[in-house]
Parts: sequence; C-alpha cells; structure tokens
Amino acid sequence: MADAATDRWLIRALQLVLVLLVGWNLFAYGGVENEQFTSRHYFPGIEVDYGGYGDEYFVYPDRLRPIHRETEYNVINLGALQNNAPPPGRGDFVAGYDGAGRMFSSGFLPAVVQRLSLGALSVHSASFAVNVVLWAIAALVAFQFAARGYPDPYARYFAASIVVSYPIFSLMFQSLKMQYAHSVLVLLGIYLAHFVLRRADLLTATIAFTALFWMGAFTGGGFVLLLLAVAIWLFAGHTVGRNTTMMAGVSLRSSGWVLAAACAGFVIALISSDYVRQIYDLPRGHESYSIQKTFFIDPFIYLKALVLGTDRSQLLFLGFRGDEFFTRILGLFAKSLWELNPFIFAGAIAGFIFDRDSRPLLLTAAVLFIPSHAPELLMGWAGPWGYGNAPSMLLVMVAFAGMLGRLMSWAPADRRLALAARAAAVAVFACSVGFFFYDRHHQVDNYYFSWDRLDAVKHIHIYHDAQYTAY
Amino acid sequence: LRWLLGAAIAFALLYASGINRNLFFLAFGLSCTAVAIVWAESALVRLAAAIVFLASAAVTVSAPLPPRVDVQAGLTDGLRKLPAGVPLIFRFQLHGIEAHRAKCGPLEPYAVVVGTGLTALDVSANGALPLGIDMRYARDVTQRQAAWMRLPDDVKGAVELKLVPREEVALYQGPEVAGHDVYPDAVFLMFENTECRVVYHVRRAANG
Repeated sequence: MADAATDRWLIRALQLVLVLLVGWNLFAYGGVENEQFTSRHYFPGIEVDYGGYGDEYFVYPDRLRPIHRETEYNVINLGALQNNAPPPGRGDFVAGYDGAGRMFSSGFLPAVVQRLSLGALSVHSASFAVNVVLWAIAALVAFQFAARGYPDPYARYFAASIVVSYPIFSLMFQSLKMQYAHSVLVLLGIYLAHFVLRRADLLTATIAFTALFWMGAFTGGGFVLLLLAVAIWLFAGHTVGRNTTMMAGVSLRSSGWVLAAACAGFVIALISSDYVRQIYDLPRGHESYSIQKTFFIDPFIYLKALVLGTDRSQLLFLGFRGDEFFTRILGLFAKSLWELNPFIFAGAIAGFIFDRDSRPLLLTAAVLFIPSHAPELLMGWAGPWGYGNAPSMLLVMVAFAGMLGRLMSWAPADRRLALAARAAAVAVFACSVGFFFYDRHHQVDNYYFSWDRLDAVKHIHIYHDAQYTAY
Repeated sequence: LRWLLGAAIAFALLYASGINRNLFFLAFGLSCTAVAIVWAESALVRLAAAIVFLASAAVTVSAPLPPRVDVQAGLTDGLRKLPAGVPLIFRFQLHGIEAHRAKCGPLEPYAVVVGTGLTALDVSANGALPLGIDMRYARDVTQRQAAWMRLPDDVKGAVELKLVPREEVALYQGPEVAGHDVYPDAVFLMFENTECRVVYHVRRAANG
C-alpha cells in the first residue's frame, strides 16, 4: 500500500518536473537566434565576419531582423508554398541546399502555420512555431516509445523530460535555417514501424512509409537515414534485442513485412518525389558534393588500398584525406556527443552492458551515428557539429530513460537496495537534465562547428549606443 | 485504411476542383495527414489532423515577406568606398565599462575597423594614435580585412574615433541592427579578455 502510494507520488513529481521543464525551455530559450549570433564578429577568430553573414534585414513593425545569408533559400521556399497556385514557371521553387533538401521543414511546415493563421503570422513567427512543434513531437514520441517499450511507469516521463531539455531543439527555436525534422522523422519512423505498422496490413504500412519517406525526401536526406534506421532497428531487435520486453511477441515474419513495406514505401516515395521534382525543375543534388563519391567510390578505393597495403595518404575516406577520418574526425564527433551530455553518454554505455532492454535502441543509435553526420562528411567540414548527433541522440535518450525507469522500479528483497536504486536514478536524471542547462554557451558552441567561440568568451556584453544586451 | 483512403480522396478533390493546384503543397499535406492518421490513437485526433492539413490546403494566404532592406545594394563585396581626405568620426560612449572591468578584470580595448585598404587609414582615438595595429584577414575569398587598433588600457568615459583615408579605403557594410536602428559601418570598439567581451556600436557622427 505504502509502495503504491510512493509510486503515485513519484509519478506526480515526475509529471510536475516535465511541465516545469516545458515551461522553462519555452521561457529561457526565446529571443536569441543562435544561428546568426554565433557567426557574428563577437567571437575570437571571426572578427572580419561583421554582421553574421548577413547583408540585408527584414523590416518588422517592432524591430529590424538581419537576414542570415544561409536562410535565403528557406525564405524563398516558404514563398512558393504559401499560394495554392503553382509557381508561375519551372524552377520557381527554390534551388539550393542539396536539392531543396529542407523544403519540408523550412517551406511546407511554416506555410501550413501561415495558412492556418490566415497570413497573420510572419515568417519568423511561423518558423518559431514549427520549431516548437517539432520539439513537442519529439518529446511526445519519446514518451510513447518509452511507455510502450518499457513496462515501468517512470521511463516515459524521464524520456519526455530529457528530450524536452535537449537544447538542440530549444536553441533553434528562433532559427529560420535549421529545423530538425529529419531527427524527429527517424524517431517517429522507428516508433511507428515497431509499435504501429507491425500490426497493420501491408497496404496501410506501405502507404504510411511512403508518406514518411515523402516528407523525408525534402528534409536534408532524412529519408535515406530513416530507411537505414528501420533496417538497423529490425536487425538490432532480432539480435541484441532478443528476449527483451520491447521484442516480446515479435516474430521474424512481421519484421520481414515491415521491411518489405518500408522498401516499397521508399521506392514509391523516391519515384513520386522525383516526378514532382521534374515538374518543378528542382535540383537533385548540389554541385559541391557527390553522395556516390563520398560514401561509395572513395571508401571502396581507400579500403582496397588498406587491404593491399598501398599508400593511402592522398586517398579520401568519408570526405577526409588519408586516415584523418579515423585519427581526428571520429574523435571530434564522439567528443561532441560526450560534451553534449556526459551523463547520458556514460549512462548509455552502462545501459548497453547491463540493461538488455536498452540494447536494440543503443545499437541502432550507434550504427546511425556516422550516417547522421553525412552533411559534414559530404562537405569535408572538420568540427564537432553537434546537430549531426541528433538522430542518434534521440534514440539514446529513450534507451537511457528506459534504463532509469528500470532502476526506479527495481524491487530487490532488501528495501534499502531498492531505495538506493531509486535515489541513483533520480540523481542521474537530475544531472543529465541539469547538464543541459548548466552551460548554454557551451551547448551552442557544440552545435556550431567550434568549441572556441562562446567557450572562449563566457560573457558577451553588447551596446548599441546606450541599448544594452547581454549574452 | 479507410481513413487513409478518405484523406487521399479529399486531397485529390482539392486538386481536381482547382482549389489547390500546388502539387508540392498537396503532396506534403497528404503525407503529413497519412502519418498523423497512422500515429494517432483515437478517431478524434485523426479527424483533427486531417482537418488541420485539409484546411491549410484549402486556403491560400498572401503573407508576403516583410520589406527587405539591402545595406549592401550597389556595393561590390559589401564595401563602401571612402573619399580620400574626408574624415569619418565615431563617438562612442563607454556605458558601464567600469562595472564590466570590476566584474571581468582588466579588459584590453581595441577599435576595430573592417574593410579594405585599411593601411591607408590614419586613425586617432581621442586625438592620440593607437598603441598598435594588428591586421587580420578574412578566411573567404574576399579581400576584406580587419584592423584591430589597440587603445590605452585605462580608456573610459568616451572615445572619439577619427578615421582619415589618405587614399582609397573601403568600409564593410553589415546589418548590425538594434531595434529599428541600423549600424551600417563595420566600425566598433571591443574590450576583451578571456572572460568577457564588451562591444560598443555607434553610427558615424553627422559631421563625420
């Protein structure tokens, strides 16, 4: 009786924490467009980049807003989707950004918001709304994933609270350029594949996958990542995930049908989206990179040289010369993950070793880790680029929450042990969420290329005449 | 499946009736509706999602982008030429500098000018020459450079920065804005140490 009362009390406390975290994120991260802020002349090493890669500004009634040069394409995307009439000419939909790769999240979704507001919301307000919605969907899917994947009543609140606090979303609330649709798509896709479409008929599953891949075809390559994620998830489920709660009652046959539906949906989405690309004369890629070269041709040549023992110093592997990918880049990516949140990173490793139920998600996250950094590899950008971690990180967070939930609900004969486990789970949860808020400047740095900007200058004070702003 | 087919028919009707001929919008809308229908656990949520996307596809909005002002219009690489011999004056009030020094420790003061041909610029701050000039260059292909001019450590109150081009010099123009105020010239004061950066922006003085 006392235990049941304690459980209820704990769940209410976790619900309250979740509500507080939602409110705090909405309150604390408003107002700063970090995408632009981090490219201004306030940081060591970029003093000549005056104005934050901007040369124009929007005139709003309440203020002027500089236009980040890299948001140009997105602004044009939005214009083409505001109207029910197709654009007047072929090619009037935007070119740029890897074949209009962000058209879904930066064009369509803000256009929906603007249409529903009957045009009352500006491009900035609509983009803010989209980023908040994506953040909320990620938290909701994490909640559902944990609720259905882990039997205890706690994991779901841990998962939602951690995802809500994941600053990659909230730091981006104001951004016009980046919306993390592809990360949400991967989480949602795996959730639907495992918990919903596995039980649906083949036609329904194929239609649903087609819809997911259609959206993903215009979210910076998210559709390829999603197909990969589903395939890896199914593999992980039937290998390291055998005999787990999540895989209870799941047959190999049903996984086969899910994979078949996913592949069929991928092909249909690829063909139909390509047809629409042709109609509107959208580019299929960008001249500055080649997916085939970076991910297939170069690695093949590199690996051949590795096997034959010939000189590799001038060859490329995943966008980097010689052995640089292994000796430097991989370390940068891993460091970025660690710097993002050492508690979750370390907890996930512990989870993989000790918690069987966490393994399928963690294995999927690990395999997706490198492909989700595809933009940096394609462009050859050496840096942490923390946003490339997001698709994997969301899966890790759910697995981590599952592990915490298991600790919370552990019921050994010795009540002191159970109490210690609960205390440990709450403490680790508090540390993992608290770390996200501990040093926001560091998190901003972790996402944008370099640890030597905001980290190098902890406090920034700006005066425009007498008008003062602190960052 | 019935819900999915219903959504497909509804979107097809929107297209066939001519209400929405934007194929891209309709395809995205149908995709979102299909995913929402599959994801939703109750008929009410499915209906709400379908209504949201169908309603958005049924209306067309005229939400033009806000007016844009290009501060670099007519300029090459955003550089505005300064006529030789004509002085340019920037009057900075160092608001709160003592408080920042008290909190951050000693701060190194610099006047920073971004542009090209900056070696042909005679600079004085409060009538005195800078203590030193460090020229930094852009990483990109532009010829832009930044002249970091060291000012005396104890500078306080106000700084009048006077720039006099001996020959052709160009100042970079960027959208440094605050509220409704534009600060077009890339000329600012920077007080820095490893802990803090304090930046002052002003516009060129009327007689400058």
